Amino acid sequence: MQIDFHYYATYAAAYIAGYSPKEAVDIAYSAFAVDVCSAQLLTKLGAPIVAATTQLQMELMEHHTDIVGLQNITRIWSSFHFLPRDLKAEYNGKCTKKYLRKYRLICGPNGELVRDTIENAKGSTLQAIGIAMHVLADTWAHMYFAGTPSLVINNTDKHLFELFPDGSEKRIAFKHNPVAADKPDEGAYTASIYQSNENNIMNLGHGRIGHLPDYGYCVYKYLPAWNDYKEVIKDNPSDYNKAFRQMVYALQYIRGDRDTFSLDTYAEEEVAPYADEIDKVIRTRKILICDEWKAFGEKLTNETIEDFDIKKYQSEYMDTSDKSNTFLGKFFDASIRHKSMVTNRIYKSGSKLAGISIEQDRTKATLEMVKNTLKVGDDNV
Amino acid sequence: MSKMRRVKEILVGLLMILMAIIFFVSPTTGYIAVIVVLSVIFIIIGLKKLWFFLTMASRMVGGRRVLYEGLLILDLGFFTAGINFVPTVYVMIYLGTAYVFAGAIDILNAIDAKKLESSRFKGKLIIGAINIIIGILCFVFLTKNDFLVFIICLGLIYNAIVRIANAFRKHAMVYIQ
Repeated sequence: MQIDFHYYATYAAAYIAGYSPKEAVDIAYSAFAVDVCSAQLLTKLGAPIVAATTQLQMELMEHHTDIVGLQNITRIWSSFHFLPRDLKAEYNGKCTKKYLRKYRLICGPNGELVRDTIENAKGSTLQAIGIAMHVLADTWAHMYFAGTPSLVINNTDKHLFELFPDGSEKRIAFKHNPVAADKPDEGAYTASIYQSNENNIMNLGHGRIGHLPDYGYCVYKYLPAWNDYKEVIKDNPSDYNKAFRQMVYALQYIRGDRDTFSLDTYAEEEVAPYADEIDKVIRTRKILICDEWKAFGEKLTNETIEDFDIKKYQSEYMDTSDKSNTFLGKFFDASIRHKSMVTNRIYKSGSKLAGISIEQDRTKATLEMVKNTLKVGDDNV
Repeated sequence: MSKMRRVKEILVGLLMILMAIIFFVSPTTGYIAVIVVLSVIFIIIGLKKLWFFLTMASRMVGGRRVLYEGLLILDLGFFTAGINFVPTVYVMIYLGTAYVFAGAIDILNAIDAKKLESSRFKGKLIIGAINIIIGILCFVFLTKNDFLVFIICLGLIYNAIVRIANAFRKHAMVYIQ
């Protein structure tokens, strides 16, 4: 997904869920910030590199795909953009453990990790809520791909057709020019080139089918590398509609308006008054539908939605000594916690592909305990 | 390309130039060294690909491509090891075919690059043309031993330069959001 959904649609979902326009903007800002918080940005801000939620092209190119490089890539992409659906999944047939570890990283909605992500966001900051919304939304868009470089999971072949509402279909033949823009009207799309090396960076996520998963209008069928030659139909309009409804449902739970968060449950009733309008926006055949989502959000709240500005909170963070209480400080804290949670869940599933992380919550609790003990000691003195 | 990879490419390029010099000074030693190094590299790559197919890629859509690549490269490795014992004329045919094939691939890539309006079109076309010319020269001077030495040295130096130049070139890829 792109800025249109992560920023403007998240804003609308937060408002429908009951947040004020100001809170909705903060949640939406955090949701999209996940796509820009790179190591390069963190270095500029003097922030901890471990808080990175994405990697830029140049950063990826600088990475070795040896085990250390792979773990860094997997930690970021599996945690924030390709949350694994089922870390206990079994492959239908015989396979090696090495294969199974990658197979289990395949992203999808309504997995246990999504529930844990939402549970962790409850009672936390707006920044943590925004990050959770990004992760949740991407489980729908990036379904069937893994957030680790893998030819055997993320590869596709020439059997890839766009399906149109009138029932017709058209084969998509990708080009590999990285600077060429996609042209939906001409059916011209760009994707990463075939690389036979399993861990080549070109085999990360949905690179082999370009940005098709990021376009809400697009319905296509193809053969995922892992699906035993069984065809998959990816219905983005349907998935994006569900993503929006699930975001509203999750946000209501986080706000305390619902007692439980159940998987595969959606805020149908609350979204119903806007359902047709939302569906129309999602089906707009453009590669970026910011204007459409923005118009919908502004009509909803009667307030102007400011454009996403990457520099909005940077000076606040850089100019203060109490960084943890700044907007970005809270964002970094939330991103580290989430990354730690997912990394350790992957590790506990028997895979070292994402490495291992210290338990952030436990560490904080320990630090608090030490701090309190010292205070008691001071008082005694 | 990472910094380490760039350094590696440059070092390999320099090593190739050194091999060309040794080969020019002492053709017999250099010839055997080139054959051995090439065959070992091909055999290792071929075996790695076959192992990858058996453990991972056999169940992948299009996985047979990995099997074929592995078999071809392994076969090429054994063949390369064997050509130490065949007359010069066969080495020349092998070299000529390899150069023409590599040149054809480069030209096909150049055509693709032109279709995509990439600025790399001219560079690829020139590299392809040079490879094809060297290949044709191999067939023209099929029985000339001196020319064999010359052509191998030329090929090594040329490929070393391309490798070093590539190490300094910018690379691009699709960014995933």
